Amino acid sequence: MRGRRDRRLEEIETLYRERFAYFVQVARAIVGDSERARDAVQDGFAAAIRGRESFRGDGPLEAWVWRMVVNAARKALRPPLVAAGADQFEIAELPPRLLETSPLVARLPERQRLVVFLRYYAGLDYRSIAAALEIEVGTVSAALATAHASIRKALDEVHANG
Amino acid sequence: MVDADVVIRDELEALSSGAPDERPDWDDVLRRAGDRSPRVRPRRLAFALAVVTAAVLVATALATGIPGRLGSWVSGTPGSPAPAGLQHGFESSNRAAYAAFPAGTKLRLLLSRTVGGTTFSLLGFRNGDAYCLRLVRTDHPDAIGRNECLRAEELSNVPALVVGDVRFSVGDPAKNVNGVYGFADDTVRSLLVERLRGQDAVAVKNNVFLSLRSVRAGSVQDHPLPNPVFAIHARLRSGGTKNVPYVSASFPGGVVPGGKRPTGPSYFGRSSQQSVPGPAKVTAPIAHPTIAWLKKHEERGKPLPPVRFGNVVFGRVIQPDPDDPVAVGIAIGARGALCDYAFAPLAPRISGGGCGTWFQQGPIRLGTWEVAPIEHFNGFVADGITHVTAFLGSGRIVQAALRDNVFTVAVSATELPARIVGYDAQNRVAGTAEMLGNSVLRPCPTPTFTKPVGALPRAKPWERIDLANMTVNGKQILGLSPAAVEAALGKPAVVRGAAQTTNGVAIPELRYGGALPSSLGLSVTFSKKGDRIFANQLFFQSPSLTDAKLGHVLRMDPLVLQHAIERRYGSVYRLYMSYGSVPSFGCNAILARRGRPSGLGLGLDPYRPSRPFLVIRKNALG
Repeated sequence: MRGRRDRRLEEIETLYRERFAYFVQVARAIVGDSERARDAVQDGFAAAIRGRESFRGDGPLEAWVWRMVVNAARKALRPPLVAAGADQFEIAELPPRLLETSPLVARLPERQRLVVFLRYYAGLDYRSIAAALEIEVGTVSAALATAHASIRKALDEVHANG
Repeated sequence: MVDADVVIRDELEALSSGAPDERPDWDDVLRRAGDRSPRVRPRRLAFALAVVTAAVLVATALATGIPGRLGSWVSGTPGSPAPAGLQHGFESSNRAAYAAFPAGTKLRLLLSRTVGGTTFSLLGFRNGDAYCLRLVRTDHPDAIGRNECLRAEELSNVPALVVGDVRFSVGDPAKNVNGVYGFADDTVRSLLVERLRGQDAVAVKNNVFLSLRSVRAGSVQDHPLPNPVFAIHARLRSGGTKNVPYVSASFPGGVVPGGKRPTGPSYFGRSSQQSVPGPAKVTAPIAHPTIAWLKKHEERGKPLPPVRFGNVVFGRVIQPDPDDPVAVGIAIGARGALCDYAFAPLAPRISGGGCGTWFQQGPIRLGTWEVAPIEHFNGFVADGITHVTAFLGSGRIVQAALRDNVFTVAVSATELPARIVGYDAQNRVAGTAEMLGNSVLRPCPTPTFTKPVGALPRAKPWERIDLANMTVNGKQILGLSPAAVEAALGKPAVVRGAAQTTNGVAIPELRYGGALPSSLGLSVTFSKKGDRIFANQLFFQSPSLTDAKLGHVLRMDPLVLQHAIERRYGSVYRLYMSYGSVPSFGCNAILARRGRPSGLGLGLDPYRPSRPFLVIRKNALG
């Protein structure tokens, strides 16, 4: 009974059901609390449904949906920006729970933090992360390398002081 | 030295372990999307059947408490033996299914209906204490079809019960066939199936009924208004009628109190604070809920078939009730997540499921199932829970089947809300989980205006419209670029540069009169086609909005405004959907421009009745 023309909708739904918890966790890393994170995921998937006909299939569907969710989470975090551009990566107020449980990851700049979450938590490959965040693959690689370097440096400081 | 990779993984795991066990709500996503496509069956799955041990329609009804109620089934020979093609088609599909009925199941043909040129067969069979129906296209006998069963208890307080709502796409050009089917006891002569527009009287034959309608599928820009079933009444042999409990399958659906046709604009709203039955207090909490056999990778049940999305580390399929084919996949997914998978009846592969944290909300974790007249709740319980019971809003209490930490229980949607309770070996409550009640049909609220029209500020340029030609400030805005819109309407209060993105291209939104969705007066949104970005929708909610002929249009009740537009601009617009006439679409109206795809939308958010809205759209029905 599934209509052929809604196959994309089904794929989005399957992705939603199978990866919901991951989407919420990453959104929580952006917005800081569960309620807004869940809201962002719901809004992100709603946007994906509305725009599903515009998805050309030239990249992974999951990456495309991640972009919707990440965008929705960013919108939930910030007041509307006057003439905001697409590439806004200011550091948001750090979510308390993130600070408590993931102090080193939490203190990364937002772009690095997001890349880390999408890589290690959501399990996306570099290309998918690039598509989700609308950045170059090289930027993903650089962000991860910088994040690693920051964490190693912080660890070395901890050890040196300890 | 500690590797950064390890630190990152440890920290993310710690974050994950402290997170609440979020449950997905696909219906809410669809509501937010305002999706108007035909309802895709939520892949909370449909294994239909709470069924199946013996296969044949034998005269075992006397042992099930239904004697005298489904007379034709008591005899053991309702209808006639299924034609060979239908029988073989079922067997073929059954052999390939993961959740299958016992081999040798014999079907009986209960009735056939031809709708829109396509014939459908309603077949019946018994298994154990369950009564089962299979609805399938007669020319596609080996299709999955719809397969649903119910048990005698579910019919105990009602004269008839819908067991399935269906939608088929048939023909070329495509037509949609939709409707309901179910059981009716011996007291019922016929069923009156009410749709939003019109009603159908359908006869009861062999204690079953089938009501189907065909409608052209249409296209995105020209599709027929939905006309779902919203209420069913049983016409009794003794005279009189009885309302048949039914949760409307329209989307989003709900309950129509008393099955009474709405008298005015309506929507399906949140259910009232109906108390959930059953024990709510946990008296024997499980400190560290887990499933030891799964973590040890013990090969219980059957192997899990391949999963389309996600990486499964280890998974099995468990059938909690040996007399019932309903089965649930249980698996450890990537990063140690606990995953559940469901199987549609007769479907050859996984039909839905999800992964998440293990038992963050207690030792009961609900699984995946389909929103349907008969809902098949399932889930996992932690070690230490020895039995699971469902307490239903209807007052019924149902024992769930439980095996290897997986439980299943079938419940009529009309009996919600419900509480699933897990007990330990000492009959102490170890955990509970709630199932929400159904939405309820409610009248659209009357708008609440605090400021009289005379006290409103003078209309700004972007608040002056002319519905005769869909202009704003004397200019045609739809189709303009963002820069051209600014030139026509002035500088907006807010430009959201990347309100949405399409294939990497940022598409803006212009907001006038306010920054937030709750306070803005006009939101101009855009679409992208090729390299062109153009205005495709103007959403107004400013009280000062003034039409050249109708005046302050957003200081009128939406229904009054709709009538005013029909009277004044009847030559420009045709009414597509009257205000609040399709409750699943909420308190909204749509007027399509004659001879063009553009049009108007108007309405009210029932949860914020102080600001009605008017929308000028490039595609009224798209």
